[in-house]
Amino acid sequence: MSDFFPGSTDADTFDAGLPSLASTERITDASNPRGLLGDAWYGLRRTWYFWISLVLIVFIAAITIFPQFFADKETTSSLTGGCQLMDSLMPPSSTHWFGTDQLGCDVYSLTIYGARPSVITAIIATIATVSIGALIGIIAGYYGGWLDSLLSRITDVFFGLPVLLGGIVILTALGSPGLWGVIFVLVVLGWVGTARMVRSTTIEAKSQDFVLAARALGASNLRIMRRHILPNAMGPAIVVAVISLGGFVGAEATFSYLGLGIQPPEFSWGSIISDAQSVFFTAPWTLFFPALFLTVTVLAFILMGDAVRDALDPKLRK
Amino acid sequence: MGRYAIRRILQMIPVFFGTTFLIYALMFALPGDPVRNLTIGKQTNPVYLEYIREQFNLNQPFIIQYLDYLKGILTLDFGKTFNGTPVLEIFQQRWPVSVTLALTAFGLEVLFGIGFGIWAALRKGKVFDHLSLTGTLIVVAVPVFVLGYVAQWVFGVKLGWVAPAGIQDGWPKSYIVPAAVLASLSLAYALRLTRQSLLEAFNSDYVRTAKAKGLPPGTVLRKYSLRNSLIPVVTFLGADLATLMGGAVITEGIFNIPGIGQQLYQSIRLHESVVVVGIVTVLVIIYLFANLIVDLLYGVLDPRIRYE
Amino acid sequence: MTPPLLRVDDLHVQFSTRDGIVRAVNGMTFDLNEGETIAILGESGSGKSVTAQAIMGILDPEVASIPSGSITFRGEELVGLPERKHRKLRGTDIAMIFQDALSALNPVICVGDQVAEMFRVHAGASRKSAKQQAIEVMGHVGIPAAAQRYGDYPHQFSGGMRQRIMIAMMIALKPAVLIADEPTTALDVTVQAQIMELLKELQRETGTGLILITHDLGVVASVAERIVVMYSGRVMEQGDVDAMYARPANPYTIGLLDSIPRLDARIGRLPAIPGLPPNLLNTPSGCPFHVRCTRAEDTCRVDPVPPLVEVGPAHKSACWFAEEVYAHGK
Repeated sequence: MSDFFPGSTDADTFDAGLPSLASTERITDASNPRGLLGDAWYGLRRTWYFWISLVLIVFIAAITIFPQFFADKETTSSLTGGCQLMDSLMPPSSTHWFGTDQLGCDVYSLTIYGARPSVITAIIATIATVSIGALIGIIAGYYGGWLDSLLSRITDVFFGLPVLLGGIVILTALGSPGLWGVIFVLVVLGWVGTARMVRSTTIEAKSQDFVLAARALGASNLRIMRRHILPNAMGPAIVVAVISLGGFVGAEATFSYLGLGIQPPEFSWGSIISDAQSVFFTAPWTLFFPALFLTVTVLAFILMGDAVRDALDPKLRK
Repeated sequence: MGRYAIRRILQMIPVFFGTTFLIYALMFALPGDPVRNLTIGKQTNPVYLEYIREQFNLNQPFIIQYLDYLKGILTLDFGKTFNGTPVLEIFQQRWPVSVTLALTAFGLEVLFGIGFGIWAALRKGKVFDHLSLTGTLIVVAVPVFVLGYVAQWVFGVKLGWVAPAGIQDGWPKSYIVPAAVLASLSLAYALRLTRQSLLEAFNSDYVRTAKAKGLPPGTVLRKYSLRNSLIPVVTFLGADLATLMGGAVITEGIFNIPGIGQQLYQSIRLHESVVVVGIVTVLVIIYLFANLIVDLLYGVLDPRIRYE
Repeated sequence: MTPPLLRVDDLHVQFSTRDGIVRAVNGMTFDLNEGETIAILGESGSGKSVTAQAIMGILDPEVASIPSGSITFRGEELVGLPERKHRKLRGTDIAMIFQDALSALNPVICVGDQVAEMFRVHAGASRKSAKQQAIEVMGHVGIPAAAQRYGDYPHQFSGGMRQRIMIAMMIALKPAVLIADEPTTALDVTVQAQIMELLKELQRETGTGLILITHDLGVVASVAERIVVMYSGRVMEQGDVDAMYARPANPYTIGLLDSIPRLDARIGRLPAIPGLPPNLLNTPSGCPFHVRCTRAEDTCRVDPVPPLVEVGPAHKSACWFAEEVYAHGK
């Protein structure tokens, strides 16, 4: 169902639908000498939006890891004296490329330094949701029976709680604990999608001949799951992970925008935009640039997820 | 159909208890002192602390708290604000505005999401198709609050077509821009879902059969392609109607529309936790019921589900 | 001399795909007379179904094209016929039964309406009379309690019953040509026999010309009068069933015949044709079958492709050694 957050979707309902240069119809699979990974790489290389999103993601990674190479942290805070009130709300210029905000802080530096909290939150939340979702999905799908019924009902319950509303309640109850609270919310409410997807992949893989053969040969459950089921679920899980990254960046921004995420004096794109709303009509640049970076980041991950999906399995593109 | 409906309704009961329990457990079973968490940002005067304790029954063991909360839900008692106004009353005052906004947004979704989706599918690979794919991709990537401010600035300030905020101009003038913002994300999904599922239908065996029967193209499109491919779209949109009510928290905040979402937005900002929990509880219940209705609708539309 | 009911002459069909042009049919040729049953035999990907769809005019115009060749129905050219006119023929004069009735029937419309639609659209029948006629034809193809089952949906029927509904729909208007594309492949063996029996019976009643597309030689022998063997979009051999079974004139046909179990032969390992059908994107030069052919010599490996030559009465084979193979008998 529709989730509130941009891009936080299960891989099935969303597809950028861009024309792909990669072959979507294989005439004969037998004549295909490349392995899964080689094939995926072959498909990726031929997809133009893979390259665009890769460039964007490398850039985002750079400003996340080394913001000091791009901007001066001094100019993001009044406490250190980097922001001068007399510079308040200056339009973009050669000294302040993206202009300045109400407090006279440099919007360019704010935007660069605003990346890290968003991206780190999204990465941690993604790793946790995908791991937990995959674990629960594999257990439910592999063992089946009452365990599957129980886990599926629990999944239904979590699915019944929209992420935005659930997040608002939890973060309010926790007294807006900052980014760890946001990560907690995203993980608690976000693992459901991965779990459902991995469960169905597991059920499919479980009945395939190579798994039956492995079982006949006396392989242990753990070994079958690790050697046979997991690799099958890997592809779709990677796609979900990449798309989730984008969605979670947007989600962090939304909670921070509502004042439920990052707390001052720290800041992220969401809180910069929230601070800019009162001066937005007179100084649109205060909102425009962080919003642009935020949007481009989300877009880059969606495109990347799409490219990876197409490359891993052309048949997934319905 | 009767058995299907009964089964769906029975399945809904554990989900209802589970979800309400989840909300409550996540709030109060977490580490830290709930009273202190819930009163952050408020003066910690003893009267307020006592009010919080009383509203959430924090002096009782957890399970009693939950049962009391459940009793509240079943008797439509969702707590009171610090001033003594019941949350239900706030709801009664504000729901017409939210429903108007949600229905307007829903109308836009149906009209443009399905309409453009069909058009894009019929013109697959042509300019309109590429435009709609790129456009929806961007809409999906832009967070709603950014889109909200941009729309407010463009239509309210620069072009001056509508008042930037408030509902003083009534429907439709005051509602159309916020409704478009509210609808944008789901509209994008609906468009893509319609396009995708229609393209799948075009390649389906039953459409090939319809052609082999020599049916006129219009009949093939209506009775075969559309009839089948709109089933997932209709169920998506149905479930989305409830999401629109909850998603309005940001849109109503930005456009200063006095609906439930705005109340929620303000209550979050003012740390009025009782109101936040009360409103979210109601919205989640609406969401659950909408999902139930969609499931039933699905059964009506698709005979395969009905008889499974 | 009156023209045959349906004549396919040197038909070529190609698809443009991302990976290049796929030549699916390369010079398909056969005639179908009234009341006759002809079987088109070949492995998957040999171009059988594409030929059928070309006759029906339901190839996807965005990717498929017919660069040359002709299809005439009662003397009227169908290649290049405006879609409006071609559509009028479909279902009324030329009809087609598909392989998998579960996916080929509309899942959300009750089966009765899907049958009745034929009478409504083509014959302009009223709702009531269309329903009446639909129930009649459903009963005729052996659906028990047709009137009660009119409002049921495809998934509520068994595989055999679904295929009967498909047949009812397509014979409703007594077409002159009926194409059956692997009509029994998705069914159990016993049901297969019943469906073939039904088709045969209906054909006897109405004098329909039947084109049976299959890869099942067992089905062919019992039903068809003539066979067209296809490989890689080309006709390898065609002739009367008995003549061809007795004295095949093409190594490919021999391979096919050898790979079916026979009651009269000694028990042993069944020979199979080695290798895989060629990739249509990249067909070998010369005879397309030379890669897998035990008889192949250098002439087979280079262009031109061997032409169809007459080896017996109405019996043709496309092989440089056709005469020789034919002369050796089996």
